[in-house]
Amino acid sequence: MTDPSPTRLSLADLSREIRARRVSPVEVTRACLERIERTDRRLNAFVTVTADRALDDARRAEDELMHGRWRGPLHGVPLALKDIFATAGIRTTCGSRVLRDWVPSTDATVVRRLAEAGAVLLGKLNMSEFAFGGIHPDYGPPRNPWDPSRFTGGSSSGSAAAVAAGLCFGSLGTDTGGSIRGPAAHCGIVGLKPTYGAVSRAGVVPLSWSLDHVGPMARTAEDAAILLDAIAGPDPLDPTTRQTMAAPPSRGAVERLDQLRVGVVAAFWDPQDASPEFLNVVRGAVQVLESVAGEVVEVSLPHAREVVPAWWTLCLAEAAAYHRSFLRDHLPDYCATVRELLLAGLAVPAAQYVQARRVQRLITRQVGALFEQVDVLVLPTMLREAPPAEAAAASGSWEALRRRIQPVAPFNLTGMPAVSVPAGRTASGLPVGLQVVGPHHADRTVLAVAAAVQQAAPLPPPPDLAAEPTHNGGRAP
Amino acid sequence: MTAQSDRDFRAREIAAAAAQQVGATLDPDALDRLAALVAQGLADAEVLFAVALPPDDPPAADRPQDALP
Repeated sequence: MTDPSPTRLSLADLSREIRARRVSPVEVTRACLERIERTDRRLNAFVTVTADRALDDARRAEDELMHGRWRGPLHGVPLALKDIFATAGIRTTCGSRVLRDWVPSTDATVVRRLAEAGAVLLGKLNMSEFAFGGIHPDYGPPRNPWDPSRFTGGSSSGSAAAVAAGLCFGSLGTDTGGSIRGPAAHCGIVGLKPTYGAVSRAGVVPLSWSLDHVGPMARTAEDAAILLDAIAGPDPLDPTTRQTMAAPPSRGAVERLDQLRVGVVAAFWDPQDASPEFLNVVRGAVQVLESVAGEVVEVSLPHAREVVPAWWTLCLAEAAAYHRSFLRDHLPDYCATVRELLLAGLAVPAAQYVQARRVQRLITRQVGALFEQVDVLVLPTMLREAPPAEAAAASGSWEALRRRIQPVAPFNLTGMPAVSVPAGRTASGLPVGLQVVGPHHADRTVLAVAAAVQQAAPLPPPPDLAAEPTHNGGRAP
Repeated sequence: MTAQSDRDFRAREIAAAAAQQVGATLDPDALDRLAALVAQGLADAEVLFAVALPPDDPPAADRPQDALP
């Protein structure tokens, strides 16, 4: 117990302190709960705080340590989860009124794996309704720790805010069209969308089966790697994981960064949707990579024009298929944006859906061919700063959603690993994310590149809101 | 009727039919918004069906007979 405020340690550093018995799991859990109590009135990151469960988990972890049992690097580490992961005995709302009272009877596979790794569950985190386009007014927008007048981006909004503000040491999010990477970029943390199939989605409320990914969100790339190790691997409950049984996330790792070939993706988005200041910050991070990588070349993303139409068709149709029965019984309970997106999904013709799948395969093959020339691709994660928090509902408009997903959606279609790492800040002090993408199963490589960027240009923590006056950012029902 | 107005008209019809699938009655503003979304979907379809797919699509692994154990 040498550090009076261990909540600002990285997950990896905390883990080393716990293993060496210099920090107690119970003490650090209490520190996190106290920080949540003082800070979350401003951030609105948590939907449910599981204080009793957290202290029980922490006491068990501490007892095991005292008896010489160490489960691994997550032993005694306080985490929190996006409220889309089923948690036995703990309500799981998906940020919706539809599921406001749903208490699952079993854990999602990844929740069980974190528990088996000895992690402490602090609670469930706010999110866009059903991980789609809008924030439900019952819950209100999570706020950005760098500037609480700003939104975090969606949909893993509370996860990004909580990790960035030091309320927990890591989180899990889901990413169907940038929902891990976008909030990570806006909040100045690391967010990884792993290879499709690397992490089980059993027990995770789906948005789009073809595009959904589960992944870690943490303050450093090393922390994200620790979380990925704990959750990745085949799961009989999720058939999409079987295809990767012989391909762990470390396959294809580049041993030396000075031999790395980096492809800088030429702009393919609508120029009107990008902030020149944002792109300049990203260029600065690319220059950092140029100083450590073996080769940097510019590449063009094939079929960029078809990405958003294919993503949009698949996501709307699959989401509508999942929600159709809910729509019949709970239509008024959805926020307007999500309700209308789902109704539009009911109108997608079967032939259009099939064509979108064919185009998805074509894009995957042709983007995959780029990796014969380079080891990783780099591009901006987001194209402009997060909107004001009050406008979060407007940011959920479908036009805004289509603009926002341009740089991230390609890799939901291809299933390739993509990480957002802090690249710097704008003049107004808001973080900017650099996206690093690798071929299938090169999750370790993209994290290694992200770690190199963080090491060369570390981002300081955001202002400590726990020390400032409070503000009610909106409360869960 | 221009191509654009024809598409808008079709989008409104399709939107109303989609709402009916789940017994929804939309007010005119909501129907307009949904029709705009459907019209976007129609435009997306034109983009997707204009893609020249390779002659071997779907690839062998997607043929049902090849998926059998």
